[in-house]
Amino acid sequence: MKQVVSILLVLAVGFFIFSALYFPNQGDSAFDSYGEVDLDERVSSSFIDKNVTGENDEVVFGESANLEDGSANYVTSVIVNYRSFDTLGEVTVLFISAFGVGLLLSGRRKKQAFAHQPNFILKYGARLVFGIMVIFGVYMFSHGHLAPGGGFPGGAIIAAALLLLYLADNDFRAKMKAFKVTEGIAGSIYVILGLLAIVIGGYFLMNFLPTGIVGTIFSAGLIPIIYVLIGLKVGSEIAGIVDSFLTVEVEK
Amino acid sequence: MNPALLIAAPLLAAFIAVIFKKIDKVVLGVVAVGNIAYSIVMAVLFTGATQIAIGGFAPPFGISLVLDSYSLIGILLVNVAFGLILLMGTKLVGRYGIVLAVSLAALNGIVLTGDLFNLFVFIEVAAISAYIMTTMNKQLKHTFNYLILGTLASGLLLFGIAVLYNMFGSLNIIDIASKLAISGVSAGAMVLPIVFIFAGLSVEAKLIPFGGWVRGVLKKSNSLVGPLLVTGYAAAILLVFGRLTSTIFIMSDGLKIALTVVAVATLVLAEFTAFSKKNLREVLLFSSIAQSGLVVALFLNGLTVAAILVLVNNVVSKLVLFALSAKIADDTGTDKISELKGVFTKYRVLGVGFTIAAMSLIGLPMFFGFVAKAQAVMSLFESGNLWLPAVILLVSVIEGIYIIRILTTLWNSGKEGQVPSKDAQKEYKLNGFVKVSIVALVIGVLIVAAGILPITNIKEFLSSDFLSFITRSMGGV
Repeated sequence: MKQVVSILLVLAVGFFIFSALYFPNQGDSAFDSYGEVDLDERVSSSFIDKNVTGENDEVVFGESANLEDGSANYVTSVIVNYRSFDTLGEVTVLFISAFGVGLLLSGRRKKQAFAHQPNFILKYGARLVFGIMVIFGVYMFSHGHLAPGGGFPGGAIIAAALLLLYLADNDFRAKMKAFKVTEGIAGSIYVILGLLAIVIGGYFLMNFLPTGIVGTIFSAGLIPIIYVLIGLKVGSEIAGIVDSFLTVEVEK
Repeated sequence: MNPALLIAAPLLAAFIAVIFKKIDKVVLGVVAVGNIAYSIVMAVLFTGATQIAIGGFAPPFGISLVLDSYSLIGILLVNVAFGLILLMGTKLVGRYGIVLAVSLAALNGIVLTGDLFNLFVFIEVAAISAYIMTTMNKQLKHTFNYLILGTLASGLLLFGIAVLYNMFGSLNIIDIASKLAISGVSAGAMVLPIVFIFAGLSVEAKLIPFGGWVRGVLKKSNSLVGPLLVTGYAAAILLVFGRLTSTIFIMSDGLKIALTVVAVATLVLAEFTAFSKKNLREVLLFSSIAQSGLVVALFLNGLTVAAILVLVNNVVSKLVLFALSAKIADDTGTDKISELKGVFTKYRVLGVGFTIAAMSLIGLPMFFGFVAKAQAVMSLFESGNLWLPAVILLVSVIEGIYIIRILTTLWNSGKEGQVPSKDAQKEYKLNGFVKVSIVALVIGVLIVAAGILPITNIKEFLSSDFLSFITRSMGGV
């Protein structure tokens, strides 16, 4: 009975969404037709032209200098500059989730024993790959303002490298205390930079460093610094979750 | 004065407490007190409604916080309630200090933000903190239930916000409101986003049928989590309802009636359920659900002042009632009303605080609750609505019956109508209830003062400047 009601409810909600989006009554259409949106009225067009605080015509890769936001990657400019406050919130979402996992699975813990015994090649090969993956992760979060990527995927790659070591070596266990400290320091610096911006520029989380020429490594002011912090933070948080799930409580 | 500090300070505290685990309670206490002080200073120095940009990008491009009389009431309410709950439940914090600090930041963010996606982010942070906090009650299956329901609600909310963004190309609430006024979007086009945002918020606001998680999660709650979820969290989410209904909820009459029916059904069903419950905390939970329904119904009908007064009354009195009930339950091992006969004859101070809060909740004259309910009923009459005041008065009677029934049981250890013999007195033992008594008494005095002062000329009070101040600057940035 429960299943039947659920299916009927889902169908009703689906019909509601579908009819509102695709067959609205005359004049009730929620959206403009494709190609008829006036892009100048949308806030996002100013994020692309980088003309929120002043006039700016066109952004040319490798030439435009001293823009309000120096990131060559549009997504990064929105995430870490125009809407940096949301990102601080999202960082907190991951922070508190990871903390909650740690809290629920706490106590003295030991590594979960796998049924398989990793052989020599797997064990040492994984260490080799680990280094490469960490370098790739660091590259990802330090170049978030130039290329696709950034702090969140970069941190996830680093945590994945750690997961590889956990899976490939039965005796391996990382020191969690160091990750906690990294996580706390990175988060604190993010907030402190935001507070510092109030003192310097008058706005919380303002990008108060000069931006340079679009496309060069030092071109986006605070953005790369914040993305490095996010990368470290995300990496250590996911590493903490990995450790919590791959260990079991020790019976006293 | 930058209100972003109210959000940044607790976050910084949480991050620092991860590094230095031992000082988490100290840091939490400092930011809780600091936030109360800072919000009072902001209220005193308040000159006029403004939007405070974050990151230096003027609204609607960047995220902005709205500082008006409405959000000031919100931050005062949330921070003071949080501080008092923390004061009463300091011993229960344990390893949850970081979670509490993050939830404080999120609640301030929910009340202050003027940006829809930012609102979603803060609601998500607050909700995740709530899931973690409720694990304190050791009802893990119910917490999991709450987690699933809350996540679904976040999804619905996000979908509603995405539709609005697609329609207006902006996320700033005030910007959307002005675009709505100019473009003349029909009420029919707004049905989809409004319904989804309403449903998404209703899970945290505990409206029936969305609030199914409440009973399981909170009926065995301790005196920290329960009061926080029924006061601070409820206040923040309900204030969001008010903010949205007064700005971007352009509703057709049909939709307005449909949503009001959901809210009023919540009010009636929850009061009847509370009437039938035998445990203190369950009664109070269902009473809170009912009050949420009432506040939402008032907001939907555009009665912001009345809604805020009812909300404040509920937060203040529930804070005392729930904290005392949970405290008694923690120490005696039960919160079954029939097993707590005459508990207040031994703890008179607690009893007086409890009684004042309960009387105010019902809305008896001489207490603040009367002013709130009078305002609600009178402004409904003035707007020509007759069935809603009738419902409110009817459920107030039901509320009165079950609350007075509780009070007589808790004050009298013997049979009804008889002076109890000394032997019939059951022995109760509460530990360290000094802080709880002080909070209960202080709030009791305030409730009575706020109830008596306007009584000499309530009509004049209800049309006074102070009340128009509440809405005067709202949204008018």
